[in-house]
Amino acid sequence: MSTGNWLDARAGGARLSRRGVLVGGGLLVGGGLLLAGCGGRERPSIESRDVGSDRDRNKRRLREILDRQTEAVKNKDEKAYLADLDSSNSDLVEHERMVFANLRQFEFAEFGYNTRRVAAHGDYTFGPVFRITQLTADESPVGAAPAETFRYRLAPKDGRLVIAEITPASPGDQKDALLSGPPADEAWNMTPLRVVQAADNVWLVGDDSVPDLEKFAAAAAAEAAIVRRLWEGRARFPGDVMYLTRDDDNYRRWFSLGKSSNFLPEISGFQTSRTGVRQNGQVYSDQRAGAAILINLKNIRDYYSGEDPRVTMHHELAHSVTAQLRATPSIISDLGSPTWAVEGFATWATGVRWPSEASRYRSQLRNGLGSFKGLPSSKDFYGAKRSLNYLLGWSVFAYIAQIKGREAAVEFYAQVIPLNDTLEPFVELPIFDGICERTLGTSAGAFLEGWQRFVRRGAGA
Amino acid sequence: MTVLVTVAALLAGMLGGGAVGALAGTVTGTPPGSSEPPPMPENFPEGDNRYLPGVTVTLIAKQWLERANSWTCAAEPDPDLERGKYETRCEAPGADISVYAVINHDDDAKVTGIWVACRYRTGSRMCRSLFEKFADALLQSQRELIKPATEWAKKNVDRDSAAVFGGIRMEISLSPHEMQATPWV
Amino acid sequence: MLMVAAIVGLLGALVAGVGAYLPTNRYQATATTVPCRRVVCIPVLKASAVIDALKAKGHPCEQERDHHWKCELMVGTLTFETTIEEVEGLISDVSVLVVRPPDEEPTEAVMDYLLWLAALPYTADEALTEEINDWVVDRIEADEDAEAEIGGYNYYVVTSNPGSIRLRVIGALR
Repeated sequence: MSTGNWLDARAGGARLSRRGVLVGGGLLVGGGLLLAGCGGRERPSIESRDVGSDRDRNKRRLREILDRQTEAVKNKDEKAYLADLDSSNSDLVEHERMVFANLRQFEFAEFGYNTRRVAAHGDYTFGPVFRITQLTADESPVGAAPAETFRYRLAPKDGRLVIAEITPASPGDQKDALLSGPPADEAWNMTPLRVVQAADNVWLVGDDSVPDLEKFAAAAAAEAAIVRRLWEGRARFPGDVMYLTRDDDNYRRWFSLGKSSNFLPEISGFQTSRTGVRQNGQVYSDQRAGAAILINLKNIRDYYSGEDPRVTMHHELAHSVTAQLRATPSIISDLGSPTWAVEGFATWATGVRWPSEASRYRSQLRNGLGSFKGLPSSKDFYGAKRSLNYLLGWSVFAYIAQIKGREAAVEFYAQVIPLNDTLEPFVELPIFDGICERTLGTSAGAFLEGWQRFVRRGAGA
Repeated sequence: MTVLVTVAALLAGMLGGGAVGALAGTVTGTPPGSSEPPPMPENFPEGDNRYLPGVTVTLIAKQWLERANSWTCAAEPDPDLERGKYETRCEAPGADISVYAVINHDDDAKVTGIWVACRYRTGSRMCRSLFEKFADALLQSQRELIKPATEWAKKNVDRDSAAVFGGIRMEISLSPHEMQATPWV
Repeated sequence: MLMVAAIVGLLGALVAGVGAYLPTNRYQATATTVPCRRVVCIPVLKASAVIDALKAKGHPCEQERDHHWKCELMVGTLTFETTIEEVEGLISDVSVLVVRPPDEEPTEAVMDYLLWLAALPYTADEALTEEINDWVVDRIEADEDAEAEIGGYNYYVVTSNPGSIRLRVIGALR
C-alpha cells in the first residue's frame, strides 16, 4: 500500500497544520517550493484497516479449519485432519484420531461442514456446526443431507487458533442455540469401528466385540437383495448400513438408542433414521435423510440358536429399505406412519421369507388374541400388548396377500406409510378409504370386516 | 548598499508576491471533480431490469396455465404492492390446493416475479412436471435456453437450488416446496 | 540601482507568488472535501445531479426527509439502495446497500453499482478511482469488514451480514 506524503498528515489536526506550512513556505521561499511543488505527486492514498470483529475473524478461521478437515477426510490424510487441534489436549486428539479412523472407512456421497447457522458465544465458541455425512447408501434426490450437530471452541495456541473443544449435540440439547440440530450420536463418534462392504451398497459396521464381522456379510447381502426385490422400484435409499455389536453399552449409546421411547435392552435389532439439513442450515423434517440398522448379536444368541441374525436383519431391512417413504412426525401429528403398518409389514415380510416364521406368528396370534377389537393405535403400540400388536399388524398384510396377492400388500403399505397416524382411528379417515379402493378394490369398511373375520378364524392356513 | 537594497527588495517582493500568490491559490483553486457524476458503466442496474425479460402475464396465465392446463386465473384484489401493481393468482383444476401460482406485475409485459407452489411430497411426478413446464414457459422468447433450463428444473425439483437462464433467476425451495422466477442482473 | 532593486524585487514577488500559488492550488486539488455547515462534503458535485442520474436509469428516488434521499431499485430478489445526505446542495454522506441471495456471488451489475457510487468523491482522478475500485473489490472478495481513510473521506465496507454488501463514504470530520 502506497503511503505517500499524505500519510504523516493523516490526522485531522495535522492536515490543517500542513496547510499552514504550505502557505508560510510560499511567503518565505516560494521559489524553492515551486521546484518542490513540481516534483511531488500529491494524491490521497488508501489507508485500509480490517474492522471485522475478532468474533468474525475467528469464525472465518474455524471455517478454514473445517474446510481443511473436509479435504483431509476426502484424501484420507490423518495428519491434516488432526493438524488444527490443540495438540496439548491428548483426549481431544485421540478422540478425533478415532473419529477419523472410522470416517475414512465409509463411502460418502457428500462430506463437509455446514456453518450457515453458526452463532457465537463470546469470541471463541461457535455452533451449531453441522457435519454433513451423506453416505452413498443414503444418497437421495432430496436436497437435505444427513447431518450431526457440534459446538466448537477455539483457543489461541502458539500464535494461531486451534480447536480446543468439540461438543456433540445430544437429543436433549435442542434448547441450546449453539447445539440445536440433529444429534451427533452416530456410532463413529463413540467407538472404534470396522467397516466391511457386504455387497453392492450393503455395509456392515462392527465394534471390537464383532471381530467376526465378515461372517455376517453373506447373510446381510442376501437379505438386503430379497427386501429390495419385494419393494421393487419404489423410492428408497440406495444402500443399507448395519451396525453389529455384542456390547450392550454400545448398543444403548449408538444413535442414542437407549434414550428412545421404545427401547428395550433385550430387543435384537432396531432401525434408526438420519435427520437431514438443507443447504441453508435448516433442519429438514418432512422426510428422513438416511437410515441405519443396529443389531445386538448377543440378544440374537439368546433367541435364535447359532446366533443367526437373518430374521432380525430381514425385519430391520424391511424398515430401512422403505424408510424414505415413511411419514415423519409433523406439527399435525407426532405419531409418524401408523405403527401397525410399519411393524406389521416388516413382520409380514419376514414371514414371506420364512414360512416357518409365518406359522409361528399365526399360532401366537391365535393364542394371544383375547378380546380383540381392532388395529392398535400408534400411541401405545410398544406398551404391554406389544407382542399382540406386532401380530395384528402382521395379519393385515397376511390377509391382503391372501385375497389380493403379495404385490397388493406391498402397494397398500406404500400408500399408507406416507401418512401420519392420527389420534382418531386412522382406518376411519376418508383417505384410508381411498387407499383401500385404489389398492384393494374395496371400501375401508369392507376391508376391515374381512380382515377381522380373517383374524378371528385363525389368520389363514 | 546596492546589494543590500536589492536583497531587501527581493525579500520584500517575495514576501508580498508570495502572500498574493498564496491567497490567489487559495481563492481561485478549483476543487477536483465536476458538478456531474461520471457516466454509468454498462452493467449499471436499470429500472427495466425489474421485469422478467420476454415474459408476459398472457403467456404464463392465459396460454400456459389456463389454455394448456385448465387452470383458473384471477386478479388478486389485495396485491403485494412491494412486488408489483397487480397480482394474478392461478389455481389448479379440481380445487387442488396443493398447487397454485402467483404472478406479480405492473402490466402485461412488465412481470416482476412469478412463483409456483407445489406442496406434494418430494419425489412426486406432479411437482417435477410442473416446475419443468414452468421453466419452459418462462423461456418461450429465448428458446435455445429451454433445454438446459428444463433439465435443471427436473434435476433439482426436490432441492434448494438456483440458476440463471437468460436474465431469469429460477429458484427452487425444498420447503415450502415452490419454484420462483425473478429477473436477475 | 533602485531600478535593479525594483526589478529584482518584482521578480522575487513573481517567483514567490507563483511558487505560493501553485502548491496552494495543488493542495486544493487534493484537499478533496469542502466544508459544508458543520461537516464536509464532496466538492462541486451536486447531490441533485447524482439523484437525477439514478432517476434517469429508472431508480425510484424519494426524499425521505429534509436533505435525506433514498433511491431504491428492486430487481426480483436483488435490492439496490442508495441513501444520500445533502448539505448545501452537496453530498456529505453516501451509503450504498446491495441485498442479494447469500449464495450468489456479486454480479457485474452489483459491482458496477457499488463502484460507481464509491468513485463519486474522486471523479476527476482516474488513477485514484482505479485504486479505490481495487480496494472495494478486494474487500468484498475477502468478505471482511473494512474501513479506509482515502483523502478526506472514510470508506466503510460491511460484508459480514450474509446476503448484503454495504458501502458508505462519508467526509471525515475534523
